[in-house]
Amino acid sequence: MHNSITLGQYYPVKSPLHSLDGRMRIFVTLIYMIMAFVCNSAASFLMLALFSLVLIFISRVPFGVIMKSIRAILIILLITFIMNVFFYTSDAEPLFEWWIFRLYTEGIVKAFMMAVRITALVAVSCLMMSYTATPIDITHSIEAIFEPIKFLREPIHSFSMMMFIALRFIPTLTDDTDRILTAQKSRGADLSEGSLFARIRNLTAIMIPLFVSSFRRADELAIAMECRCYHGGEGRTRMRTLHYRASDFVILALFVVYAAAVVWLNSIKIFGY
Amino acid sequence: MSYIKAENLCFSYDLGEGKKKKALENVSFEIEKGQYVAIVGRNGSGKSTLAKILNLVLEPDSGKLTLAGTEINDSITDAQLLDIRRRVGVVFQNPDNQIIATVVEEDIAFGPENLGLPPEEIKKRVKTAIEAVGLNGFERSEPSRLSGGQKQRVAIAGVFAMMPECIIFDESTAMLDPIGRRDIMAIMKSLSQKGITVINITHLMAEAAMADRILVLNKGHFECSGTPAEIFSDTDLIKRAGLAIPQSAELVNELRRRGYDVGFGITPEECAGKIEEYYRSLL
Repeated sequence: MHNSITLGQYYPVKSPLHSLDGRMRIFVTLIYMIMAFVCNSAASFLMLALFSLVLIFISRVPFGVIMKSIRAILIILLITFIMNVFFYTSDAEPLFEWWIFRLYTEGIVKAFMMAVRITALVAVSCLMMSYTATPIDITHSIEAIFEPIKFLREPIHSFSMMMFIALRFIPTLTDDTDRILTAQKSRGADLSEGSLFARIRNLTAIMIPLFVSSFRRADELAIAMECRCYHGGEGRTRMRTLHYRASDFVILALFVVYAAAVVWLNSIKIFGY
Repeated sequence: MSYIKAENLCFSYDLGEGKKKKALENVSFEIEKGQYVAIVGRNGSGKSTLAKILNLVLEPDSGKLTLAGTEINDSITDAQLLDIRRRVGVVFQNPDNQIIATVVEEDIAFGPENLGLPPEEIKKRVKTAIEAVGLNGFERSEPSRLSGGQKQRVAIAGVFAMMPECIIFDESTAMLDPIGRRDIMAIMKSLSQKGITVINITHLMAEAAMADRILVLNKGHFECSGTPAEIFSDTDLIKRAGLAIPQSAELVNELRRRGYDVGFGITPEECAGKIEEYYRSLL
């Protein structure tokens, strides 16, 4: 039984963003995020939007795919926009006044900026952490980042090993769930009808066997790992060593230029914003 | 000195409320280095328990076990334990529960990585291991998309990459289809030819027939050991130990019992040859 579940939403094309070293990826994404919060002028927000579009272009991930991740937050976006517009108070002359509502030009501009910030943050973090990198690359990179810090090494290693195994077992457990579902249905379990309460109660018929099977799998896996000399992160090496490439530094330079541009543009006002 | 030596191994499972179920009683045997041995027995014969003791998952209640020249006891150090685990690898029944990584070559690298080898050495070993099990071209594949037989080959390569002296196959073919089983048997043979001690714990007599020597377990006791020909021609023993011998071997045994001196055979080809030979000698 092959299932088509893909971990994360990795979009397999070749691009400088796909081949980016994992540690550099986390670092530049952090720069991007911090700068997205530093933005406070219309010009710097324009820069933020422009730079995000440039990143999407470099990644060669189709724009429609990225839009999917934004569609998921459309409601949140709308609510924040409305909140920002209606709850903005100022001593200035309101643009529009009706009953208890007062709308200010500045409020609308601020709400608009907030919407741009959220959209850009979601789109780019999805792009950097999901569309162009596998979850396993990311866990490995986190481990590599904490490697030099001695007292953090072991807990981080254990954590990343756990994440790694959890991700690795998603397809296996999906198969198990399918199998149990079919088995229970063939015994007459009705899982799609009845009241909400009845349906939740029926779900135990799937959850219990699933728990039992995953505990058994975990047990066997632990033994198999021990038999292959696994003894934690101490003295362990890796076949694939992470190393920075020239293109990684080009990307880093791009992000640094973006950060500098944001700081500079913050001081430039267009129509007073 | 023998490579694996078991002396009077006893083990019983604790069923709670003071009740115990004896699984192994005074089991003693020796396995020489480089031998290809099959351990057989029907359900409840204690072969799974023995496998777990050989994997160092279970500790025998009493008796002495020597693995790779090291006696297993409480005073064993972690470094010694690690060394034994490197030298004596295990391939389990369910490939899904022993494959750790999501890419074939990274899974094979898991063992060598644990040994702390330099990256270049790991790459070299992974390459050799992939060739040894015939998985060329699957280096970057996802194990979950491979067939059962291919997954089990990944598991074998993972053990092989640690350069073990001995590989224990714990019912490794039980979940495979006939083609997968045939592939794994061929790999066992080639590993044995490379000088690796192969121990195949199985309930399939057709598999046991491939080994140099068979150890028979029955109801927790060590019954006997011998070459496949010796074991399979002993109809008494087969009945006593409840072994399901290959039908072809059963046929020649039955013929012999009825007074036709066809000799011994195990595989269908071998038996057909023996019967043909006997028939020609009558003409």
